[in-house]
Amino acid sequence: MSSQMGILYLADTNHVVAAFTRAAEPAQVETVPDSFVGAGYHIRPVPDSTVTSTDRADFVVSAKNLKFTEVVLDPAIVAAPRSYYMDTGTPPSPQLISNPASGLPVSGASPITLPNDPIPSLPSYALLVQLSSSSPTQYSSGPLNASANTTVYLSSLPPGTYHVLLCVPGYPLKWIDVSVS
Amino acid sequence: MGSFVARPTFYEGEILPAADLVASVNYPRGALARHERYLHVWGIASGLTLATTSMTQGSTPYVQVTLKAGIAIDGSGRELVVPTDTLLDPSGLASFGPEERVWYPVFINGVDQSAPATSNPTGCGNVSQSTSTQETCTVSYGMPGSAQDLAEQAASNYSDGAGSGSWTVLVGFVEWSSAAQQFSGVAYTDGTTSVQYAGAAASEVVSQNGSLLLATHPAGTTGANPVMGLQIQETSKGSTLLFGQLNSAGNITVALLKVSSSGDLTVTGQISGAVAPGSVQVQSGIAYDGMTLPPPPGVNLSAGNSAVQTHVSVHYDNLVPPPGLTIPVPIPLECRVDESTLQVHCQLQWFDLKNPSTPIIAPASCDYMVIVSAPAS
Repeated sequence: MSSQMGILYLADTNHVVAAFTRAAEPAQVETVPDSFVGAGYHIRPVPDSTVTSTDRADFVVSAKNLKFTEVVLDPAIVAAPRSYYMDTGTPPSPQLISNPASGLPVSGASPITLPNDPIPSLPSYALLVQLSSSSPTQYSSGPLNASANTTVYLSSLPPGTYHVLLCVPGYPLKWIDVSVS
Repeated sequence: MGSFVARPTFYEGEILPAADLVASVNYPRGALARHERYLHVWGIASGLTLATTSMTQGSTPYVQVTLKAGIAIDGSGRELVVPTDTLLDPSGLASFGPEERVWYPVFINGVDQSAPATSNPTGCGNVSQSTSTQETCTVSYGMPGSAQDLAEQAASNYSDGAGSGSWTVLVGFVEWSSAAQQFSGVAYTDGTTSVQYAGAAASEVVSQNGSLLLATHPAGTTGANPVMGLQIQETSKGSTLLFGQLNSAGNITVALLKVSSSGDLTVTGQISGAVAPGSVQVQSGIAYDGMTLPPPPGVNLSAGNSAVQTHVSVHYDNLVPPPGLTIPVPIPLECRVDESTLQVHCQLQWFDLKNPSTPIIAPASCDYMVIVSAPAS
């Protein structure tokens, strides 16, 4: 077994979405995630307790919104990668996310209010939105307000109840359902 | 249709007109041009590099660009000789209204110029005329992208001699500094088109000394990259094909790849590539739900690679319950791989025995093994 592990993480927020190992490393280690993503990486998250929909969210993230790196193997990260974010310092290393997911909004109403305590070095958020598990995923990102909460409007979407994956630095990925009227 | 190639002949007592003497000169020149045109590939043969000298104008940096002396062969087989270093004039590019961070091509063309008339005319009449033609070059600039189609310039007829100089040869690219109204950099490619160097057009290359060498630069060249060579050589201990770095003496002392005359292959690095017929390659490890499994090194499993068969085995690995469960119990939901995409589907249903309720479906990791095989032909 290689002493390295591959990490796939969100480019905008550094959330680790997958980790893997491989016994045989290639001569030239990949620098982009395309080989491990295919037509898109599928995130099927654990639903928030407030999610009442029986439909399982299946967010698809394209390779352009992901990054790939190899770091020293840590079995704990391979077993539960989504508890970590990538510290992209030198050398880059995954770090445990300290805040609980409960720190993020649970309200299923639009607009969504995001807290103003992100990781200072990466003050941006990402949202993955889909109407159902079989519908396309819309990916958007933006800056987090450093001095106040950030309000994200979904009013441009047609009315309906959407699966929304909140990706806010400092917090685990969180799936909520949001109703847009 | 071109005319026949005419070889001048003379007879005793003939009065030689100037045209016959000119034809005597043009015949070998035309033969040489046809040789250059059809047995070689046009481009820079030696020199003609763009050297820079850093300068400042006030606090604004810029560079002076010098076209170094050298020789090129154009597509008609004409020699383009730049005998001395030539400082490029930025005003020639300024007339384009150039933008910054854009590469503008620098071209040379051959030009015939009559040499100054001789000072001691001795023929009939009292008129001084030039008695030689100077083969010079002009330097010009082009708009971005104008270097892309140089290979499609008008071709010569088989019987034609050297061209008039209309064939354009690219020697490099320059960048512009608006603040200094001067050049700011040089390059030999704009990312799409690169400077072309003269080559050989041959279906057979035969050495006379038992050794044949291909090299990326002349031995001893100092540059950003090592000079690499490929050499076939006969020796009393067995013939070899070698690939490796060329030392200053023109020898490959450490072969990265060696093939002996008996067919033995020796490499210092890894061998990767398509799966050979009859072989099996394996990749294994731990993967997470949603990702695409990595294939064995060097194997491309993209669509269309029907020459190989892929076998995948997965099973649950270290099971980590989602947070918030007191007595978590996992029940398998799915642990499989999409055969067409190698995407992992690995999820568990978690029950909390202390607080029985609706199970939580959570992604999980799995052990995997990818076996790629190709039938023996």
